[in-house]
Amino acid sequence: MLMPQGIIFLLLAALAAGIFIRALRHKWRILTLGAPENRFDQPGRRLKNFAALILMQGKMVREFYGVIHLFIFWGFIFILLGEIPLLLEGIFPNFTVPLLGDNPYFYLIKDVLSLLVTVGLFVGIIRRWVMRPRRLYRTAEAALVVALVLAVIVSDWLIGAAKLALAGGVLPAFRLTVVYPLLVPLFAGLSPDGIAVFQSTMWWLHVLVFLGFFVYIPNSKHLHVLAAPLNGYFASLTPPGAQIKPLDPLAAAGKEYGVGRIENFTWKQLLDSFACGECGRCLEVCPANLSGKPLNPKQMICRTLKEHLLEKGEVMRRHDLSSTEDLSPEKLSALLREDPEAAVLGKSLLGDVFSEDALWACTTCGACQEVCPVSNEHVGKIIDMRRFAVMNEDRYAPELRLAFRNVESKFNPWGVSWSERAAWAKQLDVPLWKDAGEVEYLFWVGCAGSFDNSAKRVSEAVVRLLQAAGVRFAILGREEKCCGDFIRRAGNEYLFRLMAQENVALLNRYGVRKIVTACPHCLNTLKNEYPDLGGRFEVIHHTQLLWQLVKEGRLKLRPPETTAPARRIAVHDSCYLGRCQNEYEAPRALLSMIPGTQILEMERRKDRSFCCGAGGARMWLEEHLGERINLMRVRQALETEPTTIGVNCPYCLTMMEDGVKDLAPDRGVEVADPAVLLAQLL
Amino acid sequence: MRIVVCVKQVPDTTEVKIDPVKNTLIRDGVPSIVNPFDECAVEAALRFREEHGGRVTALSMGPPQAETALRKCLAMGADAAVLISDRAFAGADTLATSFALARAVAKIGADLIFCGKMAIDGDTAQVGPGIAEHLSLTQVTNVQKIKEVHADHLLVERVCDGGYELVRAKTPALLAVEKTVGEPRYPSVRGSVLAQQTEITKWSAADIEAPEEKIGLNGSPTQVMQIFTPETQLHSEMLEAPSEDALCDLLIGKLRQAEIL
Ligand SMILES: Cc1cc2nc3c(=O)[nH]c(=O)nc-3n(C[C@H](O)[C@H](O)[C@H](O)COP(=O)(O)OP(=O)(O)OC[C@H]3O[C@@H](n4cnc5c(N)ncnc54)[C@H](O)[C@@H]3O)c2cc1C
Ligand code: SF4
Ligand code: SF4
Repeated sequence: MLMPQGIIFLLLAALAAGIFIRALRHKWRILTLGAPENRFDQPGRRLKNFAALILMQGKMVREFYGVIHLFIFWGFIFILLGEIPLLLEGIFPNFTVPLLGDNPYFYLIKDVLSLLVTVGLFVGIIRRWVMRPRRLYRTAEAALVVALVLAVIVSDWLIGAAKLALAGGVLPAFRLTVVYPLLVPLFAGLSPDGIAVFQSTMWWLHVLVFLGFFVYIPNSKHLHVLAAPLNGYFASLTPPGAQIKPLDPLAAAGKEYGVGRIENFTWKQLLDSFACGECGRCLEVCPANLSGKPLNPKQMICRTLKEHLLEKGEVMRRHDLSSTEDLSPEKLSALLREDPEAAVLGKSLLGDVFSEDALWACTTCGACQEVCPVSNEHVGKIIDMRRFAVMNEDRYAPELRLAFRNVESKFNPWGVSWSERAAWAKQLDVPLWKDAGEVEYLFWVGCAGSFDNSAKRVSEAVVRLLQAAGVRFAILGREEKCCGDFIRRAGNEYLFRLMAQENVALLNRYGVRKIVTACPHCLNTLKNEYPDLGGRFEVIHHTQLLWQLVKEGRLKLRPPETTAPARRIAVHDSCYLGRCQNEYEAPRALLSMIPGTQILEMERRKDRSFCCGAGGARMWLEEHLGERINLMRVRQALETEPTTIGVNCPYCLTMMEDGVKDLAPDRGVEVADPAVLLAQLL
Repeated sequence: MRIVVCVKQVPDTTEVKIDPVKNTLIRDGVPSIVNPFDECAVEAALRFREEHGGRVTALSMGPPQAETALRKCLAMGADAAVLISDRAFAGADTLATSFALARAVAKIGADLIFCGKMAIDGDTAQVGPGIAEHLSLTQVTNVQKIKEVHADHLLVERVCDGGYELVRAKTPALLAVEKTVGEPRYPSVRGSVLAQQTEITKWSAADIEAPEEKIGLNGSPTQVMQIFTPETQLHSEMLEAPSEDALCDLLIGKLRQAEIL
């Protein structure tokens, strides 16, 4: 028989569920304003991702506080499970929930996890409010949630202890628990009736706190606990370098290009904002932010875009609008007359909401995405908004315009005559593909390798090493054109496609299969972005090929000279070979072959490497704001007291060389690609 | 204001090399571009339109692939484009070219015509003036700036040695412009896409009612016999002497010997 308290409980629970569902529905309606995107394919891989990222908290546990989060995550699940017997037994005192209510192992796990969660929460409190790291917000919301969770745990302890006390200190289900028996002495001297009253009071308190928390979740930043698991499942399955969405400007001629209004992001991009746990990891690794530029990847996701989405989405739904693209000024002013909040509909995402200086500060280094525990995708959003700025509004820096113009007329951003593209190779006896006959590899030189003086030396070294190893290869010479990496990342999909399509057509016509390149940006674009345009090639970095040749015994270097001066090489991982290709070993292995070498590791290394500052079209933009990123990176390198800084990307080469010239002109620190150092040993 | 800009598609001569053996231009794989002066002419026309209103039509005579050059003009912002293309135009010299272009201009109707100062391949700078003559229009060459616009005349700056002339030109007029009239704009993506999708008007010799004897080879009193790189002969000699006076004497002696003094 249901007792009156059971009826009250059910009414309360129904009310809470109603509010909860209503809030979720509201969020759902806002989320579904977003553009479509297919993230429903390959369920097997997605489930695996889910297990790794969410159940195992794969990215979280890479730091100490993340391990605490792992406890909190699992603690939560067991506390939630514990609610089932706790609540049901409160209504049906004689009922035992099978598997849970009488299971001592369940209570053991829950007990331990509750303790760990409590400890974790206190560590969190100390960290957030005493240590006050920059990456965390100290909001009332955060404090409230900590208080609610503690209240849920403590009231549960007291209820369980009271139950144990009433049972005379022995309950089979609680026989392995630690906390309940510890608290039993609190009830010494109380009559069983008194204990029962205390227990039921606590139970009601618990119910109110628990239901309150439940209701609070979807209306707070703690929606994160629901959205993050979804984000784990829907996480991108493509490597970080291949995530830019294709866009055909000719086919999309009538529409707005890129994203210039929040609802033009896809639902998944919007979900990112809900999934964000505000952990600030992205902020801590962002070179743009750390160098004092106005880009804050965390803020972008969980404040700027989210707040605007909630505000605008609410108004759009209120007025039954699924898009504001065709909202005429007349219609808007009509809406404004009846609803002053409709003003948000007239705000432009770029400028009014998100600043253009922030937009252009991103180097697309991908560090933020690498560390984000909920798999948020920052870079795609930046590029979508850049597309809007460049393609839709024609609003971007003049120096970038010059670079575009150069590519259009000279096929390289330097603006050097295209007919000089192979001038670097004149003395080297490298065949052109069109005259070459049977060859294995195409050496894709890239614009930097063709025109930049330091990078040309790398091209020469690669040629000499490949020749020494007996690799049959050729170059395209004047027929090679800018691969389009920086153009695409600057948001100019039109010019990118122009270049890419011509390159793909040529490579396909020549039947090219295997490509080696010394530029990680070309590598990424050819390998990850050309397939969309019909170009499928096997592309590797020169350090990868050279290391393979060494291992196969094909590339032989002079035996080490015992008198060789000791070299201390600080390894700088480029973003596009590192995070994009996950290649960290080949450059190190090659550098280690140089006699007398000591490899030095910087604090920010490998997948945590710090950008040189040139990616994402930043190479072609003035750096007006904040500190220069390349100087920061060179300073980090110099801390290891190197004689050489080892790089593997022509952009890094330029940036680090410039930085060394500025910061340590007299220290004689050399910036070098492994190929250049190895070619000296031929 | 009806504005016509004449643009010529030319090989990118900054890139073209002369084949030392055959003495001809190596055009293999050389991209075609809009004659750089004509890009400036388009820019001048667009700026004129932006300030004073009107409609800009880009006009070119050339083979069918000259369409690309016209698309570039459309991308920059021209309202319409006309290509006159016909086998009968082949082999035209500057007289026949300017005649055909003049017929097309007449058919389009123009109050103001912009031309480049010269084409970077032909280099004659004759076509602009030729068009004006055929149409009996005012012409101003080497224009660097349109200073004032009046109902029946323009005040323009014309570059000359060491400065510029201020010229009053009755409209309708033809202006052949210097690069200094304005850096050509880089087309917006919207413009480029739109240009891909705009129809280009194509006229044959019959469409512009150009009589056969006035166009192409038939209408050309001049003919190219040979293209070659002129040989320049440079001899240099360093003079050395123990003193300045001796050096001067030596130099004067040499100059006399060469019959320069
Ligand atoms: C004797 C002779 C024979 C020739 N035979 C041939 C031949 O057989 N085949 C051949 O391809 N070429 C031939 N040419 C070259 C061709 O006639 C010239 O290139 C053409 O007349 C333009 O002259 P230009 O290049 O000197 O232009 P310029 O007079 O220097 O050009 C000045 C301006 O006129 C306008 N303009 C010039 N040409 C055009 C055009 N086609 N369309 C629109 N606007 C234009 C532009 O605004 C340009 O800036 C010949 C030239 C000569 C002198
Ligand atoms: S990609 Fe790099 S620069 Fe851009 S927001 Fe992320 S961390 Fe910052
Ligand atoms: S975007 Fe990711 S890394 Fe950045 S604060 Fe949110 S959850 Fe943390």
